[in-house]
Amino acid sequence: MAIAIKSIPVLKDKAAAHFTSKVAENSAKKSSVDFSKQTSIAARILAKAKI
Amino acid sequence: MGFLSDNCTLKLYNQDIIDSCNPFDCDHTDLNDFFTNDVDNYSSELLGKTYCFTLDSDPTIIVCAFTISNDSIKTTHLPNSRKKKVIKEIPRPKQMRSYPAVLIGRLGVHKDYRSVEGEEDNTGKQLMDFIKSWFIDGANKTGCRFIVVDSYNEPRALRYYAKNSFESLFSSEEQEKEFTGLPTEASLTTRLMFFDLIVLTK
Repeated sequence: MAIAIKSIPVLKDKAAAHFTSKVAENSAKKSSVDFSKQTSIAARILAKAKI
Repeated sequence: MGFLSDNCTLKLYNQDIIDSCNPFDCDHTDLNDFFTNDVDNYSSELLGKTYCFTLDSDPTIIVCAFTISNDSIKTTHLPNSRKKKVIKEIPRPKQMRSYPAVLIGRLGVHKDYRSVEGEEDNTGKQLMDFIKSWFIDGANKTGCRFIVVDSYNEPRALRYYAKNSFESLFSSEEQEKEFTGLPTEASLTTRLMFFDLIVLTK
């Protein structure tokens, strides 16, 4: 049997503070990366998908 | 335009795929074992859903596969400015937050299709761009802020996720062991990494 998939533990104290500050940093950079080309490719993939 | 979009089809990876396709070989024993023996179990227990891209010119070939499940990143801590006050005065509840996330449990690309001649991006990059796009799509049924991956703690895998702008969820292996309940002397076989979807725009 392969290595089990790990679940995400609750972040506490320093780990939580570090993560929360990253979240705030990223929120300030909201929609800063143009991903339109990749999303149009993904739309084509989903239109063709058999799921 | 793109190898995955133009030459492959996205399908659910299930027992029919396993039975009708050639064995998936991504040149990694544990991943091959997972995609051959464990996928059905994860699906039937509703622990994860696995998808694959098969080659249009030969649908018996699985080009890449990935397993995803709903998860969340939960934090609980005291904000710095309140720490002293709380310690001095009456204990107050810690701040708790929960951020919706999708967990990529396993992801692999067939060893013969990692890079395709004439393609600007390798197949792994195309696959990750697809997954990111899928979860910022307006048709996504639930909110999802982060993609988290349980990456093998191996240079090639870690490099792949770093190149795709993932960051480690924990600052060190020691911290990750502490939070996941592993003894310090144990080896860490996987590392949790995350990508914040908020930076992307459609």
